[in-house]
Order: sequence, then C-alpha cells, then structure tokens
Amino acid sequence: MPIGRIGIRADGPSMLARVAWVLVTAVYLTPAIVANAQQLSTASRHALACKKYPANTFLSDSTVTDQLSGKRLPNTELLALPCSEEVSGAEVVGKPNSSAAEGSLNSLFSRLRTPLERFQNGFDVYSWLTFVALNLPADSTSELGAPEAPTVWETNFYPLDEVMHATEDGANVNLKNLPESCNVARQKASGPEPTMFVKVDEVAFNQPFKTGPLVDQQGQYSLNTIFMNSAMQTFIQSKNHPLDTFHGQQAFKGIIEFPPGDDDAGILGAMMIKASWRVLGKTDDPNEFHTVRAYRYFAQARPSSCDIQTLGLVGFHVVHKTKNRHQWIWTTFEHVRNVPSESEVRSGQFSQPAYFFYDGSARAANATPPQPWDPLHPPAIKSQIVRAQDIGTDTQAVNAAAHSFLTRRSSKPTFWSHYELISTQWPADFSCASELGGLKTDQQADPNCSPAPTFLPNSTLETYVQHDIGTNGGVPQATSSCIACHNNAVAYQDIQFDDGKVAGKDNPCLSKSPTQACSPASDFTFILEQVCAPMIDPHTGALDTKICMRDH
Amino acid sequence: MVQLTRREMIDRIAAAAMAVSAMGRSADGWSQAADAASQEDRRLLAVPDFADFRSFVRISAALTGIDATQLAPDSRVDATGSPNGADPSQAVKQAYFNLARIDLSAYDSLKREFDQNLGAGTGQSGQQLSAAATLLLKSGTPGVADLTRSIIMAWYFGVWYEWTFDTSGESDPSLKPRFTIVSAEAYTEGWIWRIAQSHAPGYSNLRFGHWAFPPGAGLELGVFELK
Repeated sequence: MPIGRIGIRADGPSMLARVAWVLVTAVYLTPAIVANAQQLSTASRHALACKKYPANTFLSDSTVTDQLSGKRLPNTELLALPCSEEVSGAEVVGKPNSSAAEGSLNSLFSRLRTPLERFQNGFDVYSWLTFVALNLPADSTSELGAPEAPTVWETNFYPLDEVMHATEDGANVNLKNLPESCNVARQKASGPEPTMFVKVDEVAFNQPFKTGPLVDQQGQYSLNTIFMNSAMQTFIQSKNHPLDTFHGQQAFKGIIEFPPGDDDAGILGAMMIKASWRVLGKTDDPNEFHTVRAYRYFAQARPSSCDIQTLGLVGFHVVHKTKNRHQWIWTTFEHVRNVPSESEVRSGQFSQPAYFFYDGSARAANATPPQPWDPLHPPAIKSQIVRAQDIGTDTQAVNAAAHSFLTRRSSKPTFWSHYELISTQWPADFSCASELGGLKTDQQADPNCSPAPTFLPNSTLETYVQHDIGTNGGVPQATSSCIACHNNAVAYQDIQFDDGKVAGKDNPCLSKSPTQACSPASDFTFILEQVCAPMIDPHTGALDTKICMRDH
Repeated sequence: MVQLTRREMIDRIAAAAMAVSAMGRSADGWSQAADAASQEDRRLLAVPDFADFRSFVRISAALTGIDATQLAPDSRVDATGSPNGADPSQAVKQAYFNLARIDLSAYDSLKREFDQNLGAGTGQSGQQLSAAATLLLKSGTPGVADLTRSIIMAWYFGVWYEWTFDTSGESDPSLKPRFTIVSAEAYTEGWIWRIAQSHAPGYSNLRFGHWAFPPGAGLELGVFELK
C-alpha cells in the first residue's frame, strides 16, 4: 500500500535536521572519533587460511592442539579452518594420537552406530572445529574467551550491509558509513568503540517467513546479523558480474555458483554466518557470553535513532559450501541458557536455573507474539520458547567433550563452554551432493540430496518453525530444514537468453549454453535478495526504484 | 531419551501389533503402529542388527524394481560406510518393515515362498528375483498376496494398505481398501515421485524454474537393472 511504503521509505531526517546535524558535527564531533571509527571499520580483512584435516578430526586431536599451542604468524589465524569436511561413515576402532581413541568419542564411530550416525557424528566434530576456529580472537595476544575480543569472523568476514546495496542510488549506512544519530550516540557514550552495526530492520529482528520477533525475558528483541567471508564477498562484488545490485543481477546470465571449499586445492570456499544476539541488561552477567559492543540503529524512528549496547551471542549459524557438498553444510550453535527442551518442561527437570526466552510459567510455548512488531516499542508479552526436539545423545556427547577440552585448555572458566552444538545438517546422498555424473543440482530428482537430519531448527533463529519436530518428526516444507528452505532462494536474474527466447522446452539451456542460467536459483543463499529490487507502482505500472521489494 | 533394550523394543512392537489386532486393524491402529516404529523406537531401530531388515529390503527390491542400495542405503551388507553417503529416511523404511511384520505368520510365509520361488542356489539375477517376486502376487497362502501388494504400495506411495482389500470393489465402497499414510516424511519419500521426476501434491523440492532444465533421464535413480 502506498501509505505503508511512504512510511517505510521516509527513513532519513528532514532537510532541516540534516542542516542542523552538519552544524553540530562541525562544531562538536571530534576528528579523532571519526578517524577511530573509520580505522576500526576498515581494519584489514583477509581471506582465511584453511587446511586439510584427517577424517573426523576433533578439537583434542594433535592436528588441532599443535596449532593452538604454536606461535601465530602475522596475518594468519591460530587455528586453520577446515577447507572441507573430512568425514567418514566407516567404523573407527581407534585413532592414534587422539583423545578420541582414549575417550568417549571413540564410541561415536563404533560398530554400534549406523553409517548415518557415524557420518552425523563426523559432521558434528567438524562443526566444533569450525566453531572454535572462527571464534578464536583475531588478536594474537588474546586468549580464547577474552572478554569482548573481536573474533576471527567478526574481524575478517563482511557484514551484509557492507556488501549488498540496500539502495540502487546511494551508499548503505553501516559501520563504515555511520548514520548521524549513531555518531551522536558514540559521542555521548563511554566505553570501547563499537565494533558492530545493527540496523534494526526485518532482517535483524523478524524470524523466517515473517513469523515475528523473539523477545527475551527483559522485553528486548533479539537481533540477527549476517556475515560472509571474502570468497562470497568477492563473488558477489565481482567487477565482471556484480551481484550486489538489482541491475547487476538482472544482467548476469551465468549460473550462480559460489566457490566451494576444496581440501586438495587448499581453498576455504564460500562461508556465511548468521548470529543472533541479546541486548544485555543490568541483571545479565556478561561473563556468560561472547559479547560485542554494537550500534543499534532504528531507521524507522522519527527521527531515526541510535544507541550503543552490549550484545551477548545466543545463536550461531555457520554455513560452508564445499566441493562435495553443493547443498552446503549447515552448523548451528546456541547458548545453553536460551530455552529448555520440551521434554525438560514435561518432566519439570531443567538443566539450567533460568532461561532467556522461557519464564517457567505454563504459558503456551512457541507462539508468535501479537502484532504490531515494533522494535522501538517491544510488547509487554515476552516470548515463551521451548526446544521442540532434544539435542541428540551423540551430539550431546560431542558437546560434553568439546566443553571439557575448552575448560582444560583455559586457565579460567570460559564462556565458550556455554555454547552447544544443536546439530549439523548435510546432504546425505553423496553422489547427488557432489554432482557426480554431470547432473547439475537443478536436474536432480531431489536438489536437496537427502538432508540429514531432515529438519533442524535453532530456537533463536528459526523460533516459530519448529512444528511437530519433537512429537511427529516434523512436517515437510513447514518444519525448519536449512537445505530445503534455502533451496528456494533466488536472485533477480533475467533468465531470458540473448536470442530473446525464454528458457524452456524449445530452448534447452544445458545443451546449448551450459554456463547460462535457466532458473534464478541463487545457490542456497537469500543474501542476494537483499538488494533493492524496485516495486511496480500500482498506479502507473512503472518500476519505482525508490521502493524496495525487500521491505515488503 | 528413553533407553530400551532390543528385547524391550521387540516387545513394544508386538504389543503395538496386538493393539492393532484388537482394534480390528482400524486406520488409527495402523497409524499408531507406524508411530511406534518411526518415533519412540527410532533410535533403537538404528542398531545395526540388520539381518532381518536386509532380507526385507532384498524382497522389496525385487518387488519394486528399485535397487536395494537405493531403497535403503544403510542396509548395505558391508555396513562400513560408503562414499555414496547414508540414509536419513531410515526410520520411514523401518516403519514399512515393522508394518509388514505385524502379521508375522503372513510375513514368514512371504519370505519362505520368495526363497522357494527363487529356488535355492539357482542364481540371484535381476530377472530371477523379479520372477520370484511376481509369483508372490499369485500366492494362495492367506495374506501373502495382499501383503506383497501392500509392500509395493508402501515403497512407491508411502501409504500402507490393509491386507484384505479387493481392488475390483469399485462399485461397493465397503470393499475399498482402507489405508493410512505412514508418516509425513513417508508421504514425500514415495518412489513414484522420484521416478516420475515429479513431486507429491503439496510438496516439492524442485526449484523455481526447474521446468527449464532437461530431465535427468532417471540416470541418477539407480533403478533396479534386470539382467
């Protein structure tokens, strides 16, 4: 509706306010603050190194511990990420030089497990390796778990708002290009320089399928942030085929295929992260969380407003495309105090004394909050969320081993022990997932290549799409499945060919033009949909480039 | 997670079967049996004592014409892992297995007759397996032909038909087969959809624009090859 559009679009201060702001800035804002912010935001990002690990490598294996105890070289990370998953469904009797051979992890690969379970456990130990490598401090002088130490990913990954153009004709507001209200907030605030910028929009607070915000017990919306590594950023901002604007995507005729990780070539490949955060209040203990100082920018406020908050990490998706997993590998972690499981609620036996998104009352669980969903005026009703399905017993064993490792390694308790792997989803039909035989994903009878587990929700990031997973095994196309959902992601490609014919029966694209796109599938990422695609003006029928489809 | 021994699990299945019998094999009864197999006991059913299940998959391959490694990749005899991955739909397939065994007498007869039809030591080619399976549909042993049909229908449609139906009963509604959809996952996992390169109504994995691509010609399906 036009009125709604105007309301959403008019997100800047008036011209009068802009003039006033220029004067204020000129007089009060010290050059030092501006320089400092720019220096932080443009800190040198680099492509992360990776290496090939032996199959089913765990944190306590020597190939990991040797790195962690070594000395870091300039511009390299202490622990290399795995270029690709190295997993095996084969029965493992023992692993030399590995705690897995001595401890409980060995049983996770024994003959008492099916191949499916052994593969799953292999992916889960890969997930922990990836999680720790990404969350080590970027600063070589800091220990794992040093408070507010920016991590490897926070330092070297690109935030969504620095890659995708939110408007066709202007620069995004982001950490590099702070809106005026955030400069004012910075000037007034004490404490360390914020290292993250969160524009509190749909992406930041609304759950998938626009099912509403997640509200913690202090009445604050949780906030989501999306980052990508340099492999993704380079592909999207390619000079030859830029995909960071609507028109760039329209002009691109190729198949969108992000580069995969490859052990043999030593390439990390595309990796993306979606993290969820809580605004920490006075009653929270920041030592329980990985924290960041962040700008929280409310573009829709009149005038727009900004504050600086300490955010605590509560959810963490890592998604990695690899040579043999063209459907990507989907890892998800959570803070242990997020929510109880449904079985805990049923039994009354809780593993934590209190939860961030559950208050212990008998209120109905996992209900979307009532409208309106306004981050400036959060509702009085807090979310009441439970995990619909227990974390698998084998995954719990991997978590326990990882926590034990982290505790042993650190001189003091580390908050990273408060994070647990929920599971890892991977394409289980390997010949399908590696596209052997020349069949592309679009030609597969099942382009998802049999995801395992079939469903996987994170209680902070897929809060309201956990349907029936604990009671009835889940509902296809309704219960959260990373791969099945992201298989629907598209870009704004114009897939008509140069000859004017539309791709189809009479113009078989693979036989004639194997590199040309016949569908706008965007390789399992919704990131490309974050450009400003113009809406059609209902009155004139013309494209209105000032109104973004994304905002509707 | 409730921990059960294998014996307890078998007892539960037997109890579920008895309950179904007591209910006169109503659709709800079948559904409950499927639930018992696919949910609560899912973890224990994954214990790799696959001998019985492998036998079921072998007969199913002969009945459906789809290779056993495609029907149930985790039922491989070597069970040592495979570069072709694993089987996240194992619970669905074990639900079929458990449903087929609710009437153990009919199921044992089916297995015995299949081996007899095949003839001891006379070869296991696709053609021989197929011929042995086809004969089951003409079996005079009570329950065997109907069970055979139900197994085929389960793999192709994810639906379990009651054994005493009459396919010619179009004019008499009381004779129409009663059936239950084994589970939501079974509904989407029916082989008919993969072979037709289509999808179950209301559910599709296929991407937007998939119609622009030439079909995969079934090459990746690994359809059972008659030798």
